[in-house]
This record gives sequence, C-alpha cells and structure tokens, in this order.
Amino acid sequence: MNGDSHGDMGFAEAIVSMMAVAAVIGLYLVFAATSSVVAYDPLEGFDADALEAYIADGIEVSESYMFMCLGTMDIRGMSVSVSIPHFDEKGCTFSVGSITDLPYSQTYIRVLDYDNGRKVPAVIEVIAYG
Amino acid sequence: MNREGVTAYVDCMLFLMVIMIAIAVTITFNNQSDEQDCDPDDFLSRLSKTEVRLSDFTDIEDDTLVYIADVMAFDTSNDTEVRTYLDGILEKMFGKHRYALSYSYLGNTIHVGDMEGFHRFESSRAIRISNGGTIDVSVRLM
Repeated sequence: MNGDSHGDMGFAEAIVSMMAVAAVIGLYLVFAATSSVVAYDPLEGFDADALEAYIADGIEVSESYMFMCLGTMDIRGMSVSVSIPHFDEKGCTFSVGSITDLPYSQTYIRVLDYDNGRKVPAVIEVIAYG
Repeated sequence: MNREGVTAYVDCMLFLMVIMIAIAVTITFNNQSDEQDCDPDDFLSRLSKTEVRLSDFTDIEDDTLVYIADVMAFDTSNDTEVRTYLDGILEKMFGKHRYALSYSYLGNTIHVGDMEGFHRFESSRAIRISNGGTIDVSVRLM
C-alpha cells in the first residue's frame, strides 16, 4: 500500500483501519463483559461480623441474619461454612433458601470464643446463589 | 484523507488510544473492589487477638492462655506447629501461592508461604507480646 502525495492510501487504508478498529472494539467488549461479571458482587452489603456464629460448644450459626440477607440482597439462597483451622478442620455448613447454578463465594475470618477460654480464628466461607 | 486532513490510519490510532484509556479506567475500578476482599491490615488485626493455650502449638506442657503473638515469638527460636497453623489459615483465606507472611523477633525471622515477587497488598505491624517486647509481623497478598 503506497500513499499518494497527501499520504492517503485510499480504499485499502480505510479497509485496514476499519478491520483494526473492529478487532479492538471486539476485544474491548469481551474484556468489559468479563470484567462486569467479575465485578458483580451479590454479597455486597454482607457483614460477616453481623453473622451470629458460635463455636464454643460445637459450631452454630444463627440463620436469622442469613434470612435477612435473602430478603435484602438479590440472591435466592445462601450457605455458610464455618471451619476452625487446627481445631475443627471439617467444620459445619448451614444453608437457607434454594441452591442454584450461580454460586458466588467469599471467605471471611472471625476470631471467636472457643473452648477453655481460647479465642481462635474461624474461617467462614459464604456462598450466595443468584 | 478527510476534510480535516486526517487519514483513516490516524483516525484509527486515535480510536485505539481512547480504547486503551477505557481499559485502564475499567482495571482501576476493578482493583478498588478487590481491595475490599483482601485486607491484610484487617487480617493482622484479627490474628493479633487470637488466644490459644501454650500447649496447643508447642511441646511445653502448659495450658496457660497466651496470645498467638507470644507463640510466634517463641517459634522464631524454637520450631513449633504455629507456622503450619498460620499457613493453613492463610491458604484457606487467600488461596495457594497467593500470600507471604513473615515475623521476626530478636533478629530471627520466619517466613510462611511461598509467594515470591509481585504483590498487590501489604501490611506490617509491631505486635506487643507478654514480656513487654514486640514482634514485627508483615503480610503480603497477591
């Protein structure tokens, strides 16, 4: 492609430029779509510290906050898994609502009262189902 | 060349620059949402409140309750299970190879985690221990 006296390459340049623009805008749309899916956070507003969890006499989680989340957030179900590293690796899972194919999980850490005066970190994995 | 004297090629380059700026803005907003998920300062703050029995992670037959910072200070000169314990918590929280924790006391430093090089979040703090001294703890997250 050779330019004319004005540096204009005519139809060929227009075609190449259009293809470059189309390719880049296509890539950007894919990138933007992926980013919006990643940025979507159904657990926005969830406060792990407000979740009533007890581990002193076995793991217990009050479901009242979980039901409140179902009412206020755009989710259909929620499950909370609590494990206590070193002391109770297996842990327990509590679920409310319905389990769908759109899970979104987030992990939190809370220091809770354990047996014999210990205060140990509990790892709380919250899965929201959209 | 159009009436403004801009060829299609130059027009194309201007468009690419606009797209690059748009991508940079998108990435910036995504990183801000990640910061809420990975807060190393919050992790250290919660970790420093942990109280365990001395016998939980050491060979010492003593059921006295101590802060985990005391056990970590003891661990710097005596190999104990506390580093495995911390490694397990970090792995559950942040995933494999995505964290590095180090703590030093009296010149001895212990490293937990195998993440190397680039990291996105970092926090350090000096945690007071029972004998009046402090242990320097830092955590880096991908």
